[in-house]
This record gives sequence, structure tokens and C-alpha cells, in this order.
Amino acid sequence: MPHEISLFGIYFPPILINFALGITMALGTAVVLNYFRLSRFFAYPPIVFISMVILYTCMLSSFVILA
Amino acid sequence: MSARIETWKRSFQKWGDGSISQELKLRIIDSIKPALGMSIAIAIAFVLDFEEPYWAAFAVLMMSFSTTGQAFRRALLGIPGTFLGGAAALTMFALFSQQPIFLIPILIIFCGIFMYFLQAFKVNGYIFFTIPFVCLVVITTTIPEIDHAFFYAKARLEETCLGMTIYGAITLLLWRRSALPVLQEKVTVLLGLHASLFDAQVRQINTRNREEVFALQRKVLRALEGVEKLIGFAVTDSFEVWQNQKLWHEFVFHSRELLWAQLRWGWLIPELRKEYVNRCLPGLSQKTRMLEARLHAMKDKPHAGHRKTYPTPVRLERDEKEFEKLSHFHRGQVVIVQSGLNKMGNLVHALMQYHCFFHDESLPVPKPFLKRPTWEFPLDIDYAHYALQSIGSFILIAVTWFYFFPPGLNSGQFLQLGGAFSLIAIFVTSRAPLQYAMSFVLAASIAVVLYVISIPNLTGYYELGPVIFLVTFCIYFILVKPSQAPLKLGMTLAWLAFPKFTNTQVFDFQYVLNSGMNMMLAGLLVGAGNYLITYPLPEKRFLRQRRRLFSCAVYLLKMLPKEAAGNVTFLERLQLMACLQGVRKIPQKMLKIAEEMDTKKLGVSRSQLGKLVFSCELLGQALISLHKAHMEGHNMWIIKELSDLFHEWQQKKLKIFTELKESVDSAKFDADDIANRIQKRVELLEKEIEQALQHAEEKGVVIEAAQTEKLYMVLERNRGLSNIQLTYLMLSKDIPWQGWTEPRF
Repeated sequence: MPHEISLFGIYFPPILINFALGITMALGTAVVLNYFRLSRFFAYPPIVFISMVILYTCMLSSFVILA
Repeated sequence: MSARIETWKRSFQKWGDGSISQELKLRIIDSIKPALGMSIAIAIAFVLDFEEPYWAAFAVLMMSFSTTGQAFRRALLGIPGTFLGGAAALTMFALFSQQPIFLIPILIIFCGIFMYFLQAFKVNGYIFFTIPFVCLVVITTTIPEIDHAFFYAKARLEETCLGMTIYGAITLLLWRRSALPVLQEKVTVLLGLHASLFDAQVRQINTRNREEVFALQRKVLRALEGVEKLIGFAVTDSFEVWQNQKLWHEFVFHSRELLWAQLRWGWLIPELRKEYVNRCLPGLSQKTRMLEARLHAMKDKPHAGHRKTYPTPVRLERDEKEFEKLSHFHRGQVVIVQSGLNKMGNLVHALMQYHCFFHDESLPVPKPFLKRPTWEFPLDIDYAHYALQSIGSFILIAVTWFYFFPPGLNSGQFLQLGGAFSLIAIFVTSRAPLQYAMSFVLAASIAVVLYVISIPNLTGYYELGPVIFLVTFCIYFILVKPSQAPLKLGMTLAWLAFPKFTNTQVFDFQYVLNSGMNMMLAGLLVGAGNYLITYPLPEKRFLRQRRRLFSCAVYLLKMLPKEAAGNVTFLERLQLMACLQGVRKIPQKMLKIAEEMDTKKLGVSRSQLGKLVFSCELLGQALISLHKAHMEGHNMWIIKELSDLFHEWQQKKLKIFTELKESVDSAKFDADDIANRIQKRVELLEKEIEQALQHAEEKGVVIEAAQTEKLYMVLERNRGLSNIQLTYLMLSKDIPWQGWTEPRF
């Protein structure tokens, strides 16, 4: 059941939190892939980055913070 | 009484003189003016009972510039732009009111097309921002009551006119600052920079220090851009500039040509060191110093006196006896050096004529030395890229709005904010997408906090005015750097739009918080959307420009014989024009991108990068010079005789360019081998020229001095391009390209 998130008494919509978390996780993944030079196996990393943001946001919305 | 008013006025205008620095005074004045304008605009909108009073303050935000010229130009473009934008919104509603599935895509495409023109028109481009922006605002404000479209379009136009009139009045009445003195100051700086460039190049002959020349050249380019923009602004507020605007543009054109001529001159420095060049051109160093002295003299008064003191351009004559003793290639070098200096002499003279006329209009109207092209090829792939990027971000926003409807408001606010951010992203000079997104997140957070602190504690409208003034003043006073522009814009926008200042003011925390979150989400999405079309990493953009430069070079060289024979089709001619424009503009873009690069990560030093860009600029100039020399000399008998040899040489160059276009790796090129081959070719051509001249003599063909001069030009331009290729290859060898080409996030 989707519900709002209360932080310091303020209610936030779950999609906002999920999206922010999605960007953070995608950034983390990008840093790790860059560090191990694994990003060279992608043809066009910017699109991969966007896809990771969407994937993480959808996964978080489906399994962690329901939105 | 009037004397007292006059005294007050004077003391008001001269406020702070002597006690605080000029920069601080200007910063305070530039913050007071928009703050006052916004407070008054909102107050009048309240009195007139307008629907969305903060729109009037937005108009002030859009034209809040320091000089009257800048502000008036914005107003002159903003008002018709608002009218057209409103009309476009109404037309779209009339056509697609029953099909929202078409309405939003058409709005996005409409915005994208205008974003291209916004970049293509440097001075008047603002109108191409206003039209889609107003169209977007009108369409998204009417959601979900679409029958109010006409009402909002009208309100927007009224309030834009109100805001712009108020700010216009403020700039006229308070600390009026015309754009003309600012323009003249900038022109003096520009002339000083040209002079310093001469000085640095003379020193470079002895010190071989290229970095100083490179840095100065960058400064001249920036100053030129500034002068060009300021002319556009000064035209609106100074009659003198408006009357002579054609001459002002010619002045900038000549200044730009002088810069390119100086750049080519810098490339001749190895020749200037040679003893035979100095022997043939005895007054060389003295004449160069004379050019520098003339540029310095222009700064001083009286301007009418300069025309008498310097009646003719600086001209370098050669010693014909010494010249005859040289080989053909050495003669070519002498001719190039001589023609280069004479061209600069003519350009400096023309600049002086213009400059004197601008200061003293009683002098005769100056005549241009070079004809200014009035038309430029309008296609630029980078503009199209950024316009597509804006479309991509807007699509991301529209899809999120349509399917997720964040965060909980039954309105088009999210669409409006996201659309506006994707349009504004075009203005942002730094292409760091996440930094752009974070500006809006920070702006939204601060605006919500400000709202909570200030609005509930106000008891009446008399307090609201000073609060709006204070907050706006602080935003304008603190955020002055160009990199802070998105944050400044975001904060002003959030502060004015979220509280929804109206005649029946209520404290609606939930609405403001929702709006803040809308803004954060929209900012983040647009930031992420900037990854869609173009690669945001500067080194990738640099490589793309590099490849484009070599593609242009390949096309130019490939088409050279065909063009000289006059067998080009219309499309080929267009492509040639685009390539000629490209080889001049692309290195400038590379220069801007190079400033954003993380040199440590790429394993390259700033000076290495600078030299590489500098060699690309020289490459561009060498190609243009070669093209020009061939076009001028292709009809000459002697050049026709040697055309096969020239063609073969160009084919070799073409091969190197083709390989450079396809791969960044220049390790496979053996610089010493290429240098040897150039030397051999030079010797071969030397013999062939001698034979051709003998044949001509036997046949009784008379070769005029102009023909041989043209031949030497073609020879030297060909050798010059080969030398620059060599310089590029040597510089490029030291750069670890692998780290640049490897895909990474």
C-alpha cells in the first residue's frame, strides 16, 4: 500500500524519496564501475546511467518504499 | 527649492564615492534596482488586482541588468515575445484542446525548435526564449481549467508590460548607467590586448614562450565577445551607437580579423628568426613595434590628432636585391611575412580610423579595409545537440508528470517548472548536469525555509514589500558569479512563485512544500535528462570537436581542385561554406571545453592542452589561408603548370587528416620521417619551379610579378599546413589518448 514518508514531521511522497535514492545508487554504481574500469564495456555510458536511475527507482518503488 | 532637489540628486548619484570601492558600489546598486523593481511591480499588480501578481516580478527578474541598454533590449524583445508566446499557446489550445496527447508533444517540439534559434542569434536571441517560455507558462497554468487560456495569456502580457515598464523607469531614474561608457571602456581594453599580443609575439621570437601568447589570445577572444554583446545593448540606449551601428559592427569585424592575422603572424615566428628574412625585410622589428605603438596611442586623446599623426597604414617594403638572391621557397617565406605584416598594418589603421570616429563624429566617416560578410551559414551541430538535449529533458519531465503526477497537486506546476528548467539549461555555460540539478534542489529548500520564517510573521502588506525587497536584495548581492546563475534564478523563482502573493494572502505550508518538492524533482530530472543526447564529460565533447575539425579539413582538401575548377554543385558549395566556418569556430569551442576538463584525471597538463588547442587553431587558419591562396591563384599559368605537384602534396596531407579523423592515436606517425619528406618535396618543387620558369622564358610567356607573388603564397601556404600538421602530431604524441577515449560515466 503506497504511503507518504514522514521526515521531521513533514510528509514526503514516496516517488521523490525513491528517485533521490535511485540517483544516489546509480551514482555509486557508476563510481564503482569507473574505479574498476568496467565502464569501458558499455557503448554509451550516459544512457546506462539514466537506465540505472530508472531501474533503481522502479525497484525501490516496487520492493522497498512502495509508491 | 529646485536647487535643493538638484543637490540631493547629486549627492544621491555620487553616494559612496571615495568611501567604498567602485565594485562594491556597483554590486549594491545592481542588487537594489531589481529588489525595488520587484517590490513595486508586485504592489502595483495588487492595486490593479491582477490574477498572478508575481508574474510582474518575473518580468523584472528577466530584465534585471546593470545598464539601461541591456534592460531596454530585453524589454523590446520580451514584450513582443510574450505576445507571440501567448498567441502560440492559444493556437495550440484551439487546435488540440480535445487531444492532450498531441498538445504536450507539440509544445515540446515547439520549444526545441526555438531553443536552436535562441543559440543561433547571439544578441536578439532572447525573443526565441520568451516565445516558448510564455507558451509553456500559459498552457501549464491553465491545467486543469483549459477554458481560462485566453485569460492567462492576457494576464501574462499585461504583467510583463507592467514589470518591464517599472524596471525600465528604475534604470532610467536611479543610477542611470548607459551601455556606451562600458562599451568604450571594453574597446580600450580590447585594443590594449591587441597591443600586448604584438609585444608577447615579439618577445616570443627570443624566448620561445608560447603560453603567454595563447593566454592573451584567449583574452582577446573573450573581450571581442563582450564588445559584440555590448554593441547590441548600447544600440538601444545610446543614439551615437544606434546611428553608427554598422560602423561599430565593422570595427568588431576588423578587430577579429586582426586577431586572426596576429595568430597567423605568431605561426610565422620560426621564419622571423631567420637571418635572410630580416635581411630582405630590413624594417621588420621596427614596423612591428610601430603597430604596437599605434594601438597604445589610440587610448589617448585627442582622437582627431591621431589621424594627422598617422595618416597612412604601416607598410613593410622588401629589399628587392636581397630578395632576388634567395631560393623560391625562401622567397615564399619573405612574401608571406611581408604580406602578413602589411595586412596587420592595414587592419590597425582601419581600427584607428573607426576608433577616432567613435570619439569624434566631426571626423570623416571611415572606410572599411575588408568587406564584412553580412550572412553566416546558420547550421551548427552543437546548437542542434543542445536543443535536442532540452527536448529530451522536457520529454522526461512530461512522461513523469503524465504517469506519476508528482507530488500530489492537481495542476501543471511540475510540468511548468520542469519545462522551464529544460529551457533555461540552454543558457548554462558549464555542462555539469548534476551541479545544475543541485542548484535547484538547494534553491527550493532555501525558499521553503524562507517562507516558513517570514510569511506567518507578517501582519500586513506594508511589511510584505520590505520583506520581498530584502530577500531579493540578498539573493542578488550574494550570488554574482556566472556559475551561480542557476541558483540565483532558482531562488528568485521559488521565492516569488511559491508563496503565491495575492490580495487574499493565506499561509499554505502544504502547497509551498509540495511546490518545493516539485522543483527539486524537476531539477533532478532535468539534470539527469542532460545525459540523454550529448556526452556530458568534457573530454568526450573535446574529442567530438576534434573529429569534426578533421572532417572539415578532409572535405576542404578533397574539394579544393574541384572548387578551383568551378565545378561544385549548390549543396557542395553549402558544405564548403560550413567547413570553412567550422575550421575557424571549432578550435574556439575546443578552447572553451578545455577549460572545463579535469586535467589530473586525464594525465595531461594545462599547458599541454593549451598548446594542443593552439595547434588546432593554427590548423584552422592554415587551411583557410591555403584555400584562399588557391582560389586566388588557380588561374595563373605557373600554378597550372605545377598543379599536379601541388595536388599530390595535398593528397599526402589529406591522407594524414583522414587517419587523424578516424583515430586519435598519432603514435604511428613518424614525425622525423614526415619532416624529411616535406624537405624533399620542397627541394623537388624548387627544381620544378626553376624548370617551369625556364620553359616560360623559352616559350616567350611573360610572367608578371603578381603571378610569382601568388605562386610564392601557394607554396608557402602548402608548406605552412604541412608544418602545422607536424606540430600537431608532435604535440598529440605526448597526450595519453587512451584515457580520453575509454567509455566511462
